[in-house]
Amino acid sequence: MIQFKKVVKSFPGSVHPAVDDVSFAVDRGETLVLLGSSGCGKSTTLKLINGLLVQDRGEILFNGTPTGSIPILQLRRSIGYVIQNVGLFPHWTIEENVGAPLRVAKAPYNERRERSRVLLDLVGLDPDEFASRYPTELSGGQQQRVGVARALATEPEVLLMDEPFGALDGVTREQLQRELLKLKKRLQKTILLVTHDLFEALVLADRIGVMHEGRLEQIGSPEELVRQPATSFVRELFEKPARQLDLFRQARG
Amino acid sequence: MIALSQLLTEIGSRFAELRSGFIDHLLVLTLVPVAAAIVLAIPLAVLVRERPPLRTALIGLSTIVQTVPSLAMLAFLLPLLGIGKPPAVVALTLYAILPILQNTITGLRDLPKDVLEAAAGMGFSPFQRLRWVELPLALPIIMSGVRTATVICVGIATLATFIGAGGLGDFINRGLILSRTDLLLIGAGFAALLALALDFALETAGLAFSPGRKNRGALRWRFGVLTIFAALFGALLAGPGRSQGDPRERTIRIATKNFTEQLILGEILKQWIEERTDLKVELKQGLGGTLICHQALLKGEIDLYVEYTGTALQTILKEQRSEGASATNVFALVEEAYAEQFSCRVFPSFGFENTYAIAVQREKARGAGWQSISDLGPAAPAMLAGFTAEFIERSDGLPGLRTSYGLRFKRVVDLLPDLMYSALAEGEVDVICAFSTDGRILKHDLQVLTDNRGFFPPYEACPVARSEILTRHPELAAALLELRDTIDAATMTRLNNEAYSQQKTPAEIAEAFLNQDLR
Repeated sequence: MIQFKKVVKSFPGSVHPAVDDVSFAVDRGETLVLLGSSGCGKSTTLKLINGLLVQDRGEILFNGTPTGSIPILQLRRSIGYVIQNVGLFPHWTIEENVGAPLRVAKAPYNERRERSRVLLDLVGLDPDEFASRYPTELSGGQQQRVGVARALATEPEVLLMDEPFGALDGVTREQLQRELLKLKKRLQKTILLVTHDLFEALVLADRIGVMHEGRLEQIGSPEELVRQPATSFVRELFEKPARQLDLFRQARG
Repeated sequence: MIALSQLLTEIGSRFAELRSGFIDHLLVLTLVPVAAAIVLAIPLAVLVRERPPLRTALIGLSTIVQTVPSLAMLAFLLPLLGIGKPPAVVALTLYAILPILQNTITGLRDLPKDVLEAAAGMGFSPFQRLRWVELPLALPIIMSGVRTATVICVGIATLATFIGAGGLGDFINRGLILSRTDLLLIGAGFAALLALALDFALETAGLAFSPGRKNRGALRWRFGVLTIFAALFGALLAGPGRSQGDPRERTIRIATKNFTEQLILGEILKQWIEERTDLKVELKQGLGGTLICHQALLKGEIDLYVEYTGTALQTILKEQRSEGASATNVFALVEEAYAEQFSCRVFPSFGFENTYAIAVQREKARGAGWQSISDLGPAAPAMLAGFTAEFIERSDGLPGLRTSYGLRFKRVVDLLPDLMYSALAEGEVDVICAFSTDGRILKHDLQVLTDNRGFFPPYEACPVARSEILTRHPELAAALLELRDTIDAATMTRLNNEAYSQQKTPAEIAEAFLNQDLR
């Protein structure tokens, strides 16, 4: 679905490349979580996929085609994008916000409206109650639900999620994580999610890619990373959850 | 202080004038320039916002424009665009651009990053981003720029009167010239009211059209206030007044310079011509100084104004001073030159001269024994002179006076013609360049010193008209010839004094003069 081949991206003035010789592949229907502390290059990696940034070297394939040879707006419109602060348009109603990607694609008003209502329902917001509200009238969690609905509007095969729950309180975050899991099962999307939250990665990921200083340290299932850490960085990162995982397993029998 | 009832009476009697001034001020001198500035500034701002060098250059340029004094700007545009509304609209547009440009740039640069990132990630094209996201979100800041521009325009538009562009400034200008506080208040008051109303209307429009949830209560009272403004201005527009629509060919356009005597002569000409012929007269009172009136005449923007032979000779024809030349000689020179160079006819004088005259306080003159300008010589190095800017520059003014009489004053300050007389009366300055028929010489008891060397050329007041209009309307020439030798210097001084001492309008003075002295 998405394939990185020796991708390098540097920003002027920084010591090491933000993305340093990174190669990996995301399979169709898979959820890959890029995990790392801030500045490790995980968000940059995400932005290289939908062309918000362009790599210096290497190749990124989207459905087998190099992203550079797909018209940029077409590429972006076929990928759902969810960011930490949602970025809802404050001057549009919730319904208009959800329908925004369809508007860009010149879908007629009625289609946008109907689709928005279906999507709001899907992310757990009552369309009758929320459709005509404005973003500032919603809580942070509700806003991010709208963000997810918007990303799904054009029925993209791929969702890029950049710290989608990072700005939310713990309870809301867990609730949205659970719902994303349900949604994932139902919609069979390919999801590439970026987080610095280890537990979020463990909950959501089919596979986790650990990033550190621009390099992809290791990629594998949560089980693999915990049991067979490839580097000392990964081992230290997973020490604590590994113990907890054991305790958890024991408790469940 | 003047009473409100007096003000209302004045408004009533000048209703038609006030209405056309108001309409010009609102539509031509404010809305048109602001609209033009919006159309120019917003695309410019969009173009330069991501190009720092261009952006800096453009903002710098418009800041420079902004610092050009309004009157100087109008003067710059005069040779290019002539007088009237076009140069005024251009100047006002230039002034309106900066606030809109600056606010649009700021507004577009100050947008929430995550909203822009979301839009880009969704595949908005740059134009869709601009139209659906950036401009709407920047709108409140752009609107505040538009409001600033509007208020600036309403204010500066009051100066457009000096190049004959009309507007409420006409009232302010005339109020200044005639020392009429009521006219000043009407002009300034309505301009202030207009600025207030427009600012409020734009603010309300900004709120009403702003995206997102609206505060309906606030909008309701705002619409209430706007209704009151609209009713007030609506009454002004719908009220009684003369109907427009005189055919252009039957209309003679007369301009006057910006001092009292000219305003009275203008009214005398208007009333006389309208009485003796079936022509209509459009009077542009206080159009400007000598050069503005002359330019307007040459460009055919006006048909007639009253010039003084000495001024015509020195300022316009730039003839060398002919000391001691007789009035007849000067008139003949000017008449011939005007016919040849400008295709204009100079009519015989009204019968008086309004020459420059060096004036001092009467008591001081008596004490020092000053009678002629020569007597001033020894005392001059200790004197503070208050002269008009025109006098200081003109060859038949201060420069010539220095050569001819060898006068050296301690210091010379620029004064407005209207302030000179009271400045002298109150001892702020020691000597001024009065106009010999000015009523304020009587009013303030000033002493005019005789020009014992015959330095000042004769300044006979003569109507000057374009030959073309005279060919088209021979009856106009006949009417003007009838005015020959009808006003002597004493009469003119008396008429001028009536404006100051009795607070009569030029129209009233002219009417009384025509009724009593001419029939």
